[in-house]
Amino acid sequence: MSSLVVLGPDRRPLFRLTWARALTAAALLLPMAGAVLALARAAPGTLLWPAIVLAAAVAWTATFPDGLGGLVTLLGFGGWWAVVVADPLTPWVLPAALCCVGFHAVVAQAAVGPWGIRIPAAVLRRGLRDLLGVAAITVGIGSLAISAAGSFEAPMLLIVGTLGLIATLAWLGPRGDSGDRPGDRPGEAA
Amino acid sequence: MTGWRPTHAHLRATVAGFGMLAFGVALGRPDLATLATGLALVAIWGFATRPGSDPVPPPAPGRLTVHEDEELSWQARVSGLPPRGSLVAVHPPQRWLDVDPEDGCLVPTDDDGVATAAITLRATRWGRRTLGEPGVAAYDRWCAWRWGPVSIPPLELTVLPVTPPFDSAAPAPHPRGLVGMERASRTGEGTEFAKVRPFQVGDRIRRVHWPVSARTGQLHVTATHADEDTQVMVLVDAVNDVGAGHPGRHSSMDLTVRAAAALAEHFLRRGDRVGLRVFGAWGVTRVPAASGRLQLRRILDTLCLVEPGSARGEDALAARQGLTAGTLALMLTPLIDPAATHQVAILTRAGIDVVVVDTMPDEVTTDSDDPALVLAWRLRMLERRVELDRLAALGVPVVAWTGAHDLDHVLRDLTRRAGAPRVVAR
Repeated sequence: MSSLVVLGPDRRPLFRLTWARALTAAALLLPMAGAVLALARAAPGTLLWPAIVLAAAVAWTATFPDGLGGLVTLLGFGGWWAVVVADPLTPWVLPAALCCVGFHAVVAQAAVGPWGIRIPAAVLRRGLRDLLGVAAITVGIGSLAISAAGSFEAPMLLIVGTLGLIATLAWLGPRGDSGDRPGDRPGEAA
Repeated sequence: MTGWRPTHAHLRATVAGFGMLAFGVALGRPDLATLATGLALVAIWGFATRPGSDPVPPPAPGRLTVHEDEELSWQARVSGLPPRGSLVAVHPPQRWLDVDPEDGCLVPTDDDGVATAAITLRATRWGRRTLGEPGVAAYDRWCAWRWGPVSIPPLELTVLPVTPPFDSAAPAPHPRGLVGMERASRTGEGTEFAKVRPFQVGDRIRRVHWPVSARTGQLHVTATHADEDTQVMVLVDAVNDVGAGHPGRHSSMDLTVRAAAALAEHFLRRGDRVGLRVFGAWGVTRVPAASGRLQLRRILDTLCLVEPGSARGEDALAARQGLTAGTLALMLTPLIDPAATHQVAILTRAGIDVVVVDTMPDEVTTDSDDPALVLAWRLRMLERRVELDRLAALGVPVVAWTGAHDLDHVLRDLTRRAGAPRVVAR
């Protein structure tokens, strides 16, 4: 893989920019940019200076993905949304929610191993499949909540009730990887 | 209690997801609850699929012997991983070791919960060293739980010096053994023609030279030079290592060790007895002369242990220990320390043929801008010139080591000179 290497006076590498690192940084920035765009559409005319703070938080996250930067970024965006978006049933919340999940997934993957580790295609495919599943459920629940806008409590009850049902089913369901595997115990054949 | 710990990703999904959900419920904002839905789902998924058992870490690697620039694959096989998880393996880079990929290796878990990460290592310098401790870590499907990083006992690597191709056709000056490929000064059973002489009792019939016998009317036979082996002692000057510390450049010790390995392999392949003596390095002193492939391995192993400059002030007379007249001594030295010149003088006076192989790299200069250092380096080079002049005065040939065929003409000169009478001190 080609890379850009900055050498020090003793010809030792000081900094190395690989394609994997550049792609990871870009993948971190894109979801948040999308979320800010959705927010700007949901609240036209709002001041966008908090985006600068958010960009700084994204840069912090990109530098230390295995840290609290991602949490600060998401909470910051949620707070900004809560303050400036007046319509609680705006459809722009769906792309914003997808961008938040995408940002979380990219940061989680970037935190695996050293910064800029090359992610194999098989891992990317698996992660993308899981992410699409979560995105589909999110869009489904969000769409139902927006469409059930007749009464004030109905959307909230729908969201919380669905999430509670999913949590209960997930907790009670078979946990295939939670027990000992055959062969782990001494004397047991694999 | 297992070794799986929640990651910052899990904390982020839980706090951001359920936090925004709680705020949405409290403020009556379904948009906030929708924003939180995806994160809450990931958090629920992460809680529900928490791995229950610890993976089995890879076994400790043992010792390994490789040659310089030879690639080897370091593998970490971890079993008992959660399905659809991933394994990260990182091998720390260090001096004289290329690691590919440097940033570590990420591999997916297969259906049996096993993942094997492979990292390519390439040792770029001879020596015996313990590599840095590699580490492995495992993640579950959502990177919500992490096992490790777990350190694995490091690999102990013996890097044998590379033996560049060296093929000299010149004979050694004093063959004294029983069998070998060197042409002896006496006649006997061999392959190289010496002369045609009258037949004597005991000569083989197949040696009869029929044209001369027919012409002279008396039986004549073809005499050949005997084939014998010789004793070669490779002397390694490890008092200084000039030019060390620059990645990508050869130091004098690099050249010395590689040249010693090449010479030893060459003479051993010809059936000669080769020994090794190192001075200026603590711990290794000498390998007695012997022949065979095992001797080459013995010499290479000894060369791996050389730590230049670790023993100074050695007695110059020690160079002569065990060496007798007729031995071909090859002194590999950068000619920086006068001790090498003293030893060469002692050996020459004892009637031992010494060839000095100059292993000072061409590209060694001082990179410093400090005028004092530049001046010091210049003085050192002038002193080196004096050493070279002294050796020339002693009649000792000095050859700069640049690779194959460097010693050919020197060895031929020594062979011719061996026939001339001279006075030596015993």
